[in-house]
Amino acid sequence: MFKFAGLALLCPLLSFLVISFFTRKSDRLSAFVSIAAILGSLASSVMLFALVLSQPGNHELTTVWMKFPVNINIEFGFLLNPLSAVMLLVVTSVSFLVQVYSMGYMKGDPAFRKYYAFLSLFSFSMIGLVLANNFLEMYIFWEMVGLSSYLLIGHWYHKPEAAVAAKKAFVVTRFGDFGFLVAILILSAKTGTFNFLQLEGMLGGGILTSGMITLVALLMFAGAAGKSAQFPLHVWLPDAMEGPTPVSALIHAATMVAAGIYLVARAYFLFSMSETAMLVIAVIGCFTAFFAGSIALAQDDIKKILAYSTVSQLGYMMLALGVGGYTAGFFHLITHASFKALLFLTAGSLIHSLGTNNIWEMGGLFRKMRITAVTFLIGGLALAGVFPTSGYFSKDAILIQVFTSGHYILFAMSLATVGFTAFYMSRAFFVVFLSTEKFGKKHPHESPAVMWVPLVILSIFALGLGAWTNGFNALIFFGGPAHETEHDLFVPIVSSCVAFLSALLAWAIYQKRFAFLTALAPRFSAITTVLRNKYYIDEFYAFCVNRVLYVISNASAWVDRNVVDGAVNGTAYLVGASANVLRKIQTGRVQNYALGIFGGVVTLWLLFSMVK
Amino acid sequence: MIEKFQFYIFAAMLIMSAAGVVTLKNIFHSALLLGVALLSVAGLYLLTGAEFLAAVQIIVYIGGILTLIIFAVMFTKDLSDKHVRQTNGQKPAAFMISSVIFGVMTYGILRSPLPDRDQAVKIADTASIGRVLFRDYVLAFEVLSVVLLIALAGVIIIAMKEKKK
Amino acid sequence: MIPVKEALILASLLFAIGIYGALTRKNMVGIFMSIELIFNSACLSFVIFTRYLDPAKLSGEIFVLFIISIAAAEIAIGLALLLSIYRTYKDVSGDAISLMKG
Repeated sequence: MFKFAGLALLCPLLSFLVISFFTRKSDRLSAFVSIAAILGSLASSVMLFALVLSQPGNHELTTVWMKFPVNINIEFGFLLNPLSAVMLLVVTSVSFLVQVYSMGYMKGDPAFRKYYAFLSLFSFSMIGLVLANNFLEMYIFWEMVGLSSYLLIGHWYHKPEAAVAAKKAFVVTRFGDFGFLVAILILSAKTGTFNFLQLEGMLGGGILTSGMITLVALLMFAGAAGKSAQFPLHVWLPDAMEGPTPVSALIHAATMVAAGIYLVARAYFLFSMSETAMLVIAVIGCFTAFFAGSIALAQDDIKKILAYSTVSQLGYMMLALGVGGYTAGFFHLITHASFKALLFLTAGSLIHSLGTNNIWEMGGLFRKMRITAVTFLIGGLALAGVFPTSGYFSKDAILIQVFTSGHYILFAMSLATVGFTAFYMSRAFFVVFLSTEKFGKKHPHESPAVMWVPLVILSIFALGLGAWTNGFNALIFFGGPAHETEHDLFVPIVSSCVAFLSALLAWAIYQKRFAFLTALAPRFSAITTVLRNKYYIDEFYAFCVNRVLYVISNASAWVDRNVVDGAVNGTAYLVGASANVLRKIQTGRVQNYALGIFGGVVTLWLLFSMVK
Repeated sequence: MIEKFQFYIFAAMLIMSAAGVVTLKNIFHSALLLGVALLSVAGLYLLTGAEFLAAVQIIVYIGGILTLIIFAVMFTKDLSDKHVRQTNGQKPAAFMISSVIFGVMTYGILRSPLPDRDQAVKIADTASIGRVLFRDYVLAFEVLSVVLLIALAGVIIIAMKEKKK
Repeated sequence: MIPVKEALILASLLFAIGIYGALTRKNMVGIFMSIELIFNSACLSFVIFTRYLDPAKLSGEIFVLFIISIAAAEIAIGLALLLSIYRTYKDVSGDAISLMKG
């Protein structure tokens, strides 16, 4: 069992090293090495999944990596259970499909090899994160994932926007990572271990006070919020769309951003002990879902729409985890990984074909790109949660969970978000594929097979994963198996109605362009402006940075220049000046030296006689 | 009594001429005063009963070394020029140091339990010096001769003009 | 005969004068002469010590003989060096030769 885990982890690392050191000359060979490696990982994770299915429960392999005298050991190991096996399967399969897709999308890119090397590095880090059996190991891979994300967002680093976006992603997630690190340190200082299973046992035994648990849980949630782009640390994800689209599909839709969800799920024993922390998670998740969904309504860039949609869906997952819907939240992670990767890849296909991100410059593409259009439609339906796609099952599971938890405000907001989701997806679909042709002299064409085959595979998952709902519920649960509430048809019917009405509204506005609706548009222009500008969050941060941080920074810089540097330079000046003075003693004249010798002798002489 | 008087005469001559050696502006005058100082020392040797040493002092020092020094003074022309400044700028420090040295040494001499003997014992005639030198110190004497030989050769090599290549 | 302590004080005074000269004289011939004064001070002390403290052994007088011989060798070499320096720098003042100036 563990050899499959080791294989899954090491294949991408090997590929990264091989590409970095040996196959730098050849594009084809590099892509081949990388894809072969990720295929190896995929195969071993399938084996692993099969094994875990046959023997559910926790399987742990651990070695002491570093030993410290103060009874704390840093371990390195694998923790295999249904959660990590499923997550591993998601990561490797999406990675594999994205890598295949990238062969077409990135064809002819001058930094093709570098791209594949970093993709392999990312896969390695992500797999390590999933398999880690303790917090410190997870944190190491967590940071490596952040690094690979930085490198891949900045793939076209000669574009200033890409470089800035990469930096922003790195810096913003750092805020959260700091909280995560502090949480780990507090935990290990209090309990003397990093290990998940040991910690679970210890916390069950009541080793920490409830206040301490809440503190640790909230700090850890800060890390999760940074990675999973939860409000108020969500600002990096839309900007991260400056990276290549397959990277957006892989890292910023399916896997890395789900790492925060995965962290919360992994440490659920900790979170579930603190009601305050759970409530914070639920509220922040719900607010993020609502807020990002509303921003997505008014975006023109197809990748930005999808990015805000991702933020919104991640908020859903957090919400589910926060209200105790462990199974539902994690199931939504999986279905979301499939349909959001699919949507990003179709968007990539559109961008590849048309060379623009703006949905208003597309239009009427249904006939030109049938496969892309159909797969986009499937992804959109799944995202909107239409029966019988996978999104329906996972999203309704979350909604039911929220409803039964009794937080009706949260339920109302998440229901509104369902409406938003249906609206912006329909809007994108109608504008891009059904409206009048606007691409002018460009000749859109269907993408090559290497690109559309992954789309088809992903759309099969996006459609079919819902059939696995019951198996999943039986496999992944916290405490006991989730209580089935399918008899309650109220929530699914309401949410479907909301989604349908929203889609109808989008159809009326963007497809039919009814006059009375168009006339209403100016009335809402204020709201639209706010949404277009993403609630001015970036501007608010910029204001904070400019007005507050710069003042502090300038003061610090002044202190640094005049006090710290002054001390350093002053020391240097003092040495130099004293040397300049002392230099004059070295006259080179024998008699001066003789004077010194005799003076010294006399002084010693007098000193000795005085001592006597 | 007469010997004590002679001692003070020689002592006064020695100190005055030595002071002249180190302070006079004209280096040639200094050299001549050095001769006076060396002669006074020879006189002091005579007073202490070391006649042989007095003779050696006059022959070697005044006959040899002083001659060489005067030769060097004459040889380098602007040494004896009156307008050349003959001392450097560390007079006060040097004066302080040398007076401290003098003070400490005098203090030590006055404090030390030297026998207050008034009379030198006159047994050292030239014959006995010769006996001691060639019996007890013969090895040192031979080494000294080698040193002198090397010095002679060294002087010739140093003073020789380098051949132009 | 002459008193011991006065004679020794005389020798130390001569020594001090020699040191003063060696430290202040500007040209090298002057320094040589001061050094000769120092030598003579040492010789005088030797003679006085051997005469008044241990007249039988004569070691002091032998030392003085050696000192005089070495002084002769020293002054010969020194003057040869002086000539060499003079040929190089056209000057023999101690200040002029300051290649080791920092």
